Amino acid sequence: MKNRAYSASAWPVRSCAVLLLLLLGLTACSGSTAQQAAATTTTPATSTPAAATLVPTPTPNSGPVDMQTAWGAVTVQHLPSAMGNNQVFVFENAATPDGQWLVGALEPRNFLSNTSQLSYLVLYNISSHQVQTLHALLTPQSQILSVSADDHWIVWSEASDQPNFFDWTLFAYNRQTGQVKQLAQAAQANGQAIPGPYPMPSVDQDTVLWNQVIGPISSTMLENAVVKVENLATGSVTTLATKAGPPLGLSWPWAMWSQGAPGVDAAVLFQNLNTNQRITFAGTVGFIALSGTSVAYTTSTNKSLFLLEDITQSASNATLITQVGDANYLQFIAMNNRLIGWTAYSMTPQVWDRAQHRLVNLPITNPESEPGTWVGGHLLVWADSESPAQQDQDMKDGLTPTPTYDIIATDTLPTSP
Amino acid sequence: MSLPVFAAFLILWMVFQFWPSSAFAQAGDSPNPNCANVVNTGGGSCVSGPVQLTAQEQAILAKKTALVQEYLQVRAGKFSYTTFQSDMLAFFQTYGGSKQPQSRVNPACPTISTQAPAVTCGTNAVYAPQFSQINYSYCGPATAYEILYGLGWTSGPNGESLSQSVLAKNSYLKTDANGGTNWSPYVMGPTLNSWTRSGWYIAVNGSGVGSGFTSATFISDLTFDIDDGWPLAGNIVEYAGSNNPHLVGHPSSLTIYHWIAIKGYTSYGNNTTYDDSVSGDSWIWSWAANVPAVSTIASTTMTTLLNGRGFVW
Repeated sequence: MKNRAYSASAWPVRSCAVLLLLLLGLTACSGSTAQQAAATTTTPATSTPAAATLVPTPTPNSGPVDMQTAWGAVTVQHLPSAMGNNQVFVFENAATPDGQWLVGALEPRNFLSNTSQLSYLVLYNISSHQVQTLHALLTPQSQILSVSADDHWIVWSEASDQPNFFDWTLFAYNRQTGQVKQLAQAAQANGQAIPGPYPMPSVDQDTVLWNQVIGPISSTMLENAVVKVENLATGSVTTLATKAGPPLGLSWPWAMWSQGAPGVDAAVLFQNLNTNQRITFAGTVGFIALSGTSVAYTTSTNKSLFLLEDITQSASNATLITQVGDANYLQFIAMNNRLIGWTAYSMTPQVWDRAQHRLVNLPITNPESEPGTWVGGHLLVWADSESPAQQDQDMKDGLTPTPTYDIIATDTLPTSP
Repeated sequence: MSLPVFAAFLILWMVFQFWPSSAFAQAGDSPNPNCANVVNTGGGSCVSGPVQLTAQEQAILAKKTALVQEYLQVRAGKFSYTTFQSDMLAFFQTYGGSKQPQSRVNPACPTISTQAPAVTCGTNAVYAPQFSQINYSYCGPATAYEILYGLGWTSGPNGESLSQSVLAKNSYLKTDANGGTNWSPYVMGPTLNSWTRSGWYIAVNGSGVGSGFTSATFISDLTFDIDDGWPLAGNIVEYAGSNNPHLVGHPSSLTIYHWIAIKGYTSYGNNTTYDDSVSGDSWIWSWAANVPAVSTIASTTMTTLLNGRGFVW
């Protein structure tokens, strides 16, 4: 396998990246049922979770409907990714909490053949189209691996050793001072970075959560895979869990990670960082996203998407959002307090409206093989591709495509049609 | 000459005369322009030319392609199943091909019938269990392992025990030497043939390295092989970008070169089922945790992915 990660129209995925990828368990391959997947329990984390019965929730207005029907004349901002000087803005599936800026990379369009031009971590203003440069990546081959933003901080991991990205560095940018500080770096052995999953940070309320390996690991020896938490205001770092890794999520005060060995005892854990209350989300799931005290997740087959509104309450309240059939999968789930987004094969981009309880189809000009939607903070973002002819030409020329990003402020959406 | 035999001869002759050249491996190098500065770690070198088939291999490919056309007619109820079996047996007798050639001329189809059409499988699969690749460059050896294990060939031509490490050596896939399993120079087909003591496996170049193939060609080759009990090896290229197809769970932000074992189909070949050796390797790549061991995707999508390099069937 190969090369460039998190590039150009990298867009739907990074997502994944961020909240949703599972490291240590949550095997996407075992055939668990929805009932198994959503059982939860409260402290202690080691107790055996009780099975719960999930009741699908096809509400009368579950849709899908088109955007106009659901939301009327909602304002859609169109943000071009093509930049001057033959550069492209690559959305990294992160936005500032005020809903004003997308976070991404400014890269040369010939990224794959480029050997000298640096890429930059930037903010892209949705209204003014202003681009604010935050940081030059370390080398021309460096790529942003995963990004998260809160009111004060932009935290990201970057590396250049594609496609494995074992030699990563984790940084934080202080939006008030403009200073960048290094939070962590890949551990080394014999002068080389130790192989293992790269960090996928999640920041909220000046606290950042990330995964890293601190020594050699294997499929049966995961003690060196840890999840750490740092108070960015004070600089204090603690290890929150061992034998742990993605999916990570932090929605203050709740932290989420996976713990245990894949296919053996892996489970998603939630911990209230104020009270230290822990909840085990038992069973195997595919993708999972955390927002507030809600989680959206797929079953291990990635065929069904569920929403559990409150992780502190009974898992039997989880509701079925949507399902797909043969040769289709629900992947890379993202969520905020209003919408749930995902990526699927051969479908119109869709979201689930948590207020209207229905699926909403989003408009695109050009067809995509895997249309996806990203939801976070107060924004819904989806990509509208170049024309097929232009895509073919870009491919031949070795250039990163330049989709247009369509953006809606989700706090402006009507709660009823 | 009996009518069925004459019909078979006629079809074979027509196929040889008129079968589109796109179905055959082609000469001519067309490296992908996106490959500069790309690091490959298992699915083959980034810049690749087509597999160059020998004269005998081209003859085998032509005969297999002709048999596929016969089989399509069998499935449509327009050709004698008995004649097809006879032609298949002749193929095996000429080129070797199986521990039990007889079993290979009786397509394993759930709805096989004595009435025309004799073979009407909507869904079919062969035994080829998924195994995780044992390191980050062994997708090729893992794919060959899945195929050979499924076929029951656990002992090599020199008496070696089947393992990913053995398959990665210079005698076979040359993965250790090249840091990945290349599409060309051709290693996958000869390795599978060596271990199965056959001449069954042959390469078809994708449009990324040669003239390519259509979805219809891939589907007909897929159903032919699966119904006869043979898994396929696919060398795919996934280009970064949400507009470019990726296998299930593979991040669309990554460009990935990868080998997979193709072991079944649904919806009369319109969907393809495959093993993914990345699954189970979440201790290497964080995204691997979301990769199922076995998935089924549209064959049109699979055709796009395979055209980056090609498939061995």
